[in-house]
Amino acid sequence: MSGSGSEIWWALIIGTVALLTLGVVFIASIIFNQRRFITVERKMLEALEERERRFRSLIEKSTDGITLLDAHGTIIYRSSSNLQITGFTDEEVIGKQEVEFIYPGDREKISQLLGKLVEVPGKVMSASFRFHQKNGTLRWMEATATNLLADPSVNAIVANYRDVTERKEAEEQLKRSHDQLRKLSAHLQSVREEERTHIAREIHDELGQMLTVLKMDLALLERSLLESSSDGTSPETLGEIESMARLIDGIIRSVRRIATELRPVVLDELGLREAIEWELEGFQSRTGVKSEFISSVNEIYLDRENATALFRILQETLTNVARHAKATEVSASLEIRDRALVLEIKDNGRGISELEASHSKSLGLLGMRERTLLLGGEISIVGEKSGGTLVSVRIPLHNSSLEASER
Amino acid sequence: MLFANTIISILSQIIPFASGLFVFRFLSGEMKVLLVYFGLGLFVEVISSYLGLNNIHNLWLFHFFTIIEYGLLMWVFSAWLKSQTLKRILRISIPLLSLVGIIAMFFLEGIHQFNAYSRSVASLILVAASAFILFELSMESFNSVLRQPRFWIASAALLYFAGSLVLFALSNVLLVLLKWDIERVRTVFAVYTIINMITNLIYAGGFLCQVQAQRSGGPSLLEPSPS
Repeated sequence: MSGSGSEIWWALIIGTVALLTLGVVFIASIIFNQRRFITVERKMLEALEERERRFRSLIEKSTDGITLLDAHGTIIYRSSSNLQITGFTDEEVIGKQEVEFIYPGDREKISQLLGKLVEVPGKVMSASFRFHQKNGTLRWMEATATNLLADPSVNAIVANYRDVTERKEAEEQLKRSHDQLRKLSAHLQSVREEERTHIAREIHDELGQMLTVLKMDLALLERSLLESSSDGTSPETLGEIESMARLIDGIIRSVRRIATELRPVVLDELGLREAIEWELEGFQSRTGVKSEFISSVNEIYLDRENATALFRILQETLTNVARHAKATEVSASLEIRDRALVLEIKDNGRGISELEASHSKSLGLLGMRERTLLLGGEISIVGEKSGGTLVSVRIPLHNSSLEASER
Repeated sequence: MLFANTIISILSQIIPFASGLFVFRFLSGEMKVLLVYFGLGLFVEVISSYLGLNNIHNLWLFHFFTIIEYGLLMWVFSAWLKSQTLKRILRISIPLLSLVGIIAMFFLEGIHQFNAYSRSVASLILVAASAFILFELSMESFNSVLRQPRFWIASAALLYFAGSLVLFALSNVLLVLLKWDIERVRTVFAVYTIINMITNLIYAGGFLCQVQAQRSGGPSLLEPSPS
């Protein structure tokens, strides 16, 4: 074989062996790399599965129900706790509208909320509604729904809900109890006012009358003693009689004051506006705190209960001013604003702190709040930044009261 | 010796074809195309052996077979590739290689010589395409590549065409070197029967692997559909 022939043979052998070897090495490296790739991927998958198991168990073992809804409110998934909560199996609810299971009276509300929720991605909304369990029992549910339709990994509205029937019943019970207590309190205040009125009238009429008669009798006794005695009554006796007359005058004044304090006649006779004015004048004369009253309404037509409540709130406020505020001036205003009667009392004292205003042991403030709530009104007691305290009472006026007051 | 070689060569060609037929109902579209390729390969092997044993020129058969073989294999490989650019290039190469084959057949080599030009070019491109398929497989799959028919087919193609490339390229030179002594030329080619046998076994593994893949519902589903 010639030299070039030998080279061709070598080229053939070496070329074939080299290419085959390269091919085998390449295939082997593919297998090796892929195994490594699989190992890494498998570990990642195992980690992912572990996380999924953890989250799934969180969802599945939760006592709260979790439901996924599509954009039309159709149930596409629910956690296993739903079975305990609702009594319905997956087959009975998956693919159906969520609102179908809601108490008819609450469906409209929930449909509207869902409609609003769907419009805004990421929006969170909460609601309470009644729900018919499979056995027909009506239960209260509290739900929080989050719009995750735009989240590609969820692509649903996530609704978490729990049975709050026991809590709702307890709340209702508490509310009823509160209402009963409030009614009782209102009744007691009404009785108290009636009693005070009655006692004031008895003291004023009976005791006052008797004292007046006693004073007249004493005057007659003094005149009779002066006329019947020729040698003259002893100056000591006359002195005693005069002293007794002065004492009776004092008792009469005390009786009038007590009767007025128990139930100011001016409130019943002249009305709230005049009673406030009278009370402020009395307050100024008693305490020396300069008092001012501004009223934008000439006549206020309120029923007796409302007028009494507002007057007592004013009295309590003035008592607090005198006791705690260290004020030199106090002003009160009465006006009709937004179909409500607004009484505002402001002083220039040290100002009430937030803690004092909300203190549960402040029985006077508590009484003021209770009286306002009984009238369906609102009260705010705030210490002002500029100093002083502002008490603002707002009581809604009935149409008849409003029309009469505005005339 | 020559007869024995011919028989072994034909038998090894039967193995992948028979395997494909055996699992025909599990085969995907691409694998069915491959089955056609092996059927055709067997047919050409039988005819060429018959002609060769009867001292009748048979090299013209390979000129045509190379073009058809390249077309079928490249269609399957381009369907398996994910890269759209490569897919397009490989598909465009089918008519181009046919053109090269026809030009070489009539103007460069003649019909009674080996088709060294077209065979070499086809082998080079097929080796590259197989390597790309294997590379993509190694990157994509969570399941072992060993369970995927694509791996076995591409590996077999890579080994067969890489192992035969130099021989195909030098085949006409060898004819001259061996002074057109056909018996000696056949002896040289018989050495490559070993590569052919091994790769045919690997092809058969690809067909049988398809059954497992289909039954497990796994890897075969990952195979890209022909586009």
